[in-house]
Amino acid sequence: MECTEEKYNDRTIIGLRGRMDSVTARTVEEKLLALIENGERHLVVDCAELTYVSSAGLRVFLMAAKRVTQVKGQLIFTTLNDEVRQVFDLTGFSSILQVCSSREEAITQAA
Amino acid sequence: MSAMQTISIRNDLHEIRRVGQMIEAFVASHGLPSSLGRDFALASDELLTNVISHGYDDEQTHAIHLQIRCDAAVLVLRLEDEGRAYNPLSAPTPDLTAELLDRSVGGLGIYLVRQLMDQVEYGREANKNILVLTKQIPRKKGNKTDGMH
Repeated sequence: MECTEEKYNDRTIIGLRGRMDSVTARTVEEKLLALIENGERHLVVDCAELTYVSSAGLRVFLMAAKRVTQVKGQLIFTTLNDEVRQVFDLTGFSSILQVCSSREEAITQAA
Repeated sequence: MSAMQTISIRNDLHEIRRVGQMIEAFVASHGLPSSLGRDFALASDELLTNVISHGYDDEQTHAIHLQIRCDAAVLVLRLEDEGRAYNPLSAPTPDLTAELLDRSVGGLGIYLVRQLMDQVEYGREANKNILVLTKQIPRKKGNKTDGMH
């Protein structure tokens, strides 16, 4: 599991690569929570290369989304592949998390 | 068509990936849809993560045995562990309608398993938890008798 970080104006784009499961989710958890802790408020999670997510990954996404909401920030998920999208849909995450189909849309949505 | 394969792992989260790989290879080698393999791999990941994280009262190494088999109609995965008695089907269904700040992830894993599978059965035999997951194999396209009137 790899996490890359990129700045675009005041937005931070986190690129996830690989599988997010009970072994690897912690890497993403540490990354997202550290960014929020450091004052980042407009986060875009690019899932184009996220090949797999289990509930261990969902737990991290939910925790980060709550944390960002509490500090009046924004966390947007973008470019989910079909498998990850299925997991978001089955668990209702598609309706509680902000999901955009393209990276460009996610960047322009971040206000 | 009938075939079966088994795998045994230790109670270590790093072992779970091997199970997913075995399932996906089994599904591929029998010409079944890859989506079926992914569903079973995810379901097994959720159940194994639960057992390995919460199932044991000691720090010892324990074996978990899995068996996958298919016939013409269904794919069946059986998991057997020697953890403490726990029926994951007794977990309450998570509230999927709650707002973001009220959402909890408790129970999401087993909820996913139930959504992905057609049937999930639990039993306790000889101090072992037995879970059996079953899912219909989607029929191949072009089968004219396939539900048409």
